[in-house]
Amino acid sequence: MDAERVFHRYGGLMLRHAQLLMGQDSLAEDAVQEALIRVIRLNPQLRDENHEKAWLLAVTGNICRDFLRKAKRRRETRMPDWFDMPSPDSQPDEEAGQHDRDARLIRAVMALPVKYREPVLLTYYHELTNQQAAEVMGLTHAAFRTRLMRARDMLRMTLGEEAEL
Amino acid sequence: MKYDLNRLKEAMDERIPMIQPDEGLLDRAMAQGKRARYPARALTAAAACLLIVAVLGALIGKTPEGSGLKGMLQAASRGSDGQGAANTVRVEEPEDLSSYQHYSPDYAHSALPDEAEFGGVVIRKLNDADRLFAFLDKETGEEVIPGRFWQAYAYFPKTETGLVQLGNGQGLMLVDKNREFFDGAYSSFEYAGGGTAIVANRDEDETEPDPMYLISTADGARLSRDYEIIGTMRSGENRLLMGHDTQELNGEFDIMDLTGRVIVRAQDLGGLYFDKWLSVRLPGESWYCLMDLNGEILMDGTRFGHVGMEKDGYLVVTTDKGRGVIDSEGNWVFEPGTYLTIEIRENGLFRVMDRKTAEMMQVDARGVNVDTWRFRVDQAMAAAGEALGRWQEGLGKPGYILVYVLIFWLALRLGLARRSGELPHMLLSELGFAAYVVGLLSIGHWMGLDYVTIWPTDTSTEGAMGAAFSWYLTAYALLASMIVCYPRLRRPKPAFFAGMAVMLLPWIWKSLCADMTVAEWQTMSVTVFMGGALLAVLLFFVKPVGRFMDWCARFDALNEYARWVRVIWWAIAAAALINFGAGCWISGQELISATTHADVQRGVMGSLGNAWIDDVNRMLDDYPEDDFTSQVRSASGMSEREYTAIAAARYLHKNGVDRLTDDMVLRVKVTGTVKTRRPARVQMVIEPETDGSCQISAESGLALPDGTIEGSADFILLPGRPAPEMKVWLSISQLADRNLDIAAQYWYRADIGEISVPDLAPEDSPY
Repeated sequence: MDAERVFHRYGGLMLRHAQLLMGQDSLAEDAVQEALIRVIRLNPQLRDENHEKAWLLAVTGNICRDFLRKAKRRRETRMPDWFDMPSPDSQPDEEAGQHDRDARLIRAVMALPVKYREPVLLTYYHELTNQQAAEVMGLTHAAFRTRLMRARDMLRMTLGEEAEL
Repeated sequence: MKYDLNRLKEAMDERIPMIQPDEGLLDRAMAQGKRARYPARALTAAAACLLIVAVLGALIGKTPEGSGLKGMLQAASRGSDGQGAANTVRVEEPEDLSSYQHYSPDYAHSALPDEAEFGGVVIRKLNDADRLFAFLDKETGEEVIPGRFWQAYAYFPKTETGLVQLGNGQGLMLVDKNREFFDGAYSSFEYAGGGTAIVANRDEDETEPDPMYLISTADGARLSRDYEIIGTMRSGENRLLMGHDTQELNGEFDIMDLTGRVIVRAQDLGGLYFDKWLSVRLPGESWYCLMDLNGEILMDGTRFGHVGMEKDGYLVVTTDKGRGVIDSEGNWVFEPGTYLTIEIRENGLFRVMDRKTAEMMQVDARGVNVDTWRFRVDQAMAAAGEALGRWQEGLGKPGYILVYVLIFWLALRLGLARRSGELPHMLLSELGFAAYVVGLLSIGHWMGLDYVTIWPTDTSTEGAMGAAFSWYLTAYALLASMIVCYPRLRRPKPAFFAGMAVMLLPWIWKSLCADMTVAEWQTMSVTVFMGGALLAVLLFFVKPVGRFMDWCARFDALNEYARWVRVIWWAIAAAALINFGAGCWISGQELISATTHADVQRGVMGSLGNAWIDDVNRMLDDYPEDDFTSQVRSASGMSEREYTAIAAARYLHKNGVDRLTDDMVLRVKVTGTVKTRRPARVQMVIEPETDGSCQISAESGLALPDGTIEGSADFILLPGRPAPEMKVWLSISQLADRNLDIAAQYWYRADIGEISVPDLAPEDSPY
């Protein structure tokens, strides 16, 4: 796997994944840099683009978790400065429009522990199938589905009992 | 309120600004990616592998003497026929009707039936809460002894007697069918066999050890006098008891039969052979003699340096003329001096070394050469091991480690180890190769001649040691192969068969060589390890699979991205904690104080005898140059005297000395007293801490609680060489329930002093 090609083809995707997992742009760049180093050192030969994408997301995710662990972050990632939107646990407004609902949803997702945020992002942001996402996270299919289900439960609790997902 | 997760991507892209990849990021990655960081990783991985193997070895190896590798080594060091093999375990003898029927000595009553009957008496559990048993009359149902309850009981059907444990925890009592209690309550009770038991009287004075003696389980009659401790030795149906009384006998002990009859008072019991002979070192003697169970000295009083091993009706013995073999009737099969070395093989064959040509042969009891294919295989493998040993010795340890590191490095540089696939397995391959190097390092350590030369030379010890390490290396090689094979999870069969082969190899080898010797063991180790590693590496290059690893990955114990390293560190941390914790606990429990006095003498040869110096000089004269290494490596079957003589000759030869004189031999003798908090067996070890001398023999003393101890060691000190610093330490075994067998489970080392050996070399030495 050529690092330059990986960078140009998947750099944005990796950065985005790291950014959403860690919430910090500078850390995200460091994580992607580390992922590229691994690409250079390991030079994995993968079958097709799907496998490439899954492998890169997995490596990026692992590095992000390592970074977060080293930074002694707690499960709840600090919201970045650029992200200013209504708190998900503020009183839900029946009249709130789609705009507000999206903001609350994003905030709730970003407030999930990384362990549960990652399956949500892989499924709903990167639009991977459950099987692909499970492989990325190194989980069995069943374990992944359980984790995703718990993530949704946590979102439902954060957004309010009335919330439908 | 309805939230739509399917809109998450759209919403996030709309609200969270995307970072654009910066070309500088790629440049930095390219620069860093080329920087190698293998050494640090490899070192970490090597340490991890080594510790994993240690943990595996400890977990896999279970022996009756103790658990884990340490237990095996202890079993090995005690030998199968030495005094150390004594034990007083509760022997289950299904064929012996006098064995226990029910007994739960530790107040855990799960094994005790609620009700049992013997000799007209019923023992019945009173209630579950207290778990007490009452002793009831079978006919009337009344308590035999009102108000007395038992916590546990045993029954000896043959003698119709029972053993009860008093409900207040005040000891054990023997009762008979007539419900009469014998005098005294025992603090311990060990069934010794043949209707006898070793007991200790409970004593109110807890500061003094309870005296032990032998009783009959039929009537409780005392069969022996009091001893500080009594051990047993069993061989076939026969058993011997050894009564130690350090205060009176100063290390000597009585050897008794099961009737309590003292056969002989001895300084050392070598073993029990053919169920009818003892090898005994009598007080004041440095040689062993053979005697029968009546204490009559056999073989016309022939003095032996070593007796054992016994196999298929033959017994290998060593006299001052060399090694010989006697049969079970006391006739010489090979008189001492017939061959240079003799070792008993299976099927009544002997492996011998010709005295003139130094060739190894396999002969039958008539001395006819019956070299077989199997033996030729052994010989070829031994030669291969020897060649490898020579090569390693030529390079030196740093040298051959460097070679393997270079191989590893080259593999990486040439991209061989990077031929991956989908998975980032670099760390895994590094671990595999690091394991390879570490394995060679450990083999080199144990194979190193410096270690071999000072090892004890009992062949059974070597065999046990070999068996122990075969486990160790098997576990290691299996692990290494799986690590290296892991990267691809596509082809399970090759990896599976490789793992099976690695596991089975020691057994195959052992079936070829029933009595493993040092040389064979070395060869086996190398074969197993090299074979396992080679298979692993080969399979690695053909994209193999480990089904087991696949399962581990599937169940999240490991995953594909090397995160299983964490598991390793947990294991390491746990093992370290356990070891340190156990060590601290034991050391805190046992040794209270130890005082020593060291005395250094010159020209005293201890049990080897002064004739040994002539042996060494004869070897220096007779053997061709540089032949000592091969002699030491093929030392299987040698007596201690022969072995140490060759080792000493080699040492002298290497240092350019062609003659050994008695003033170059030093004996360091240490006497002292030890005081322990609880009953413990204390053994003294004296060893040179610095290089500059060759240890040629060691006799360690044995002390019981609060006893005196005496140990000695003989060394060769070359003229003009600085005298070594000596280290004296105690190996302290815990005696749980006064059971020597259990004692082997715990021991620790206590350093008690250093001795400066005076430089006794004469200034006008001719050398």
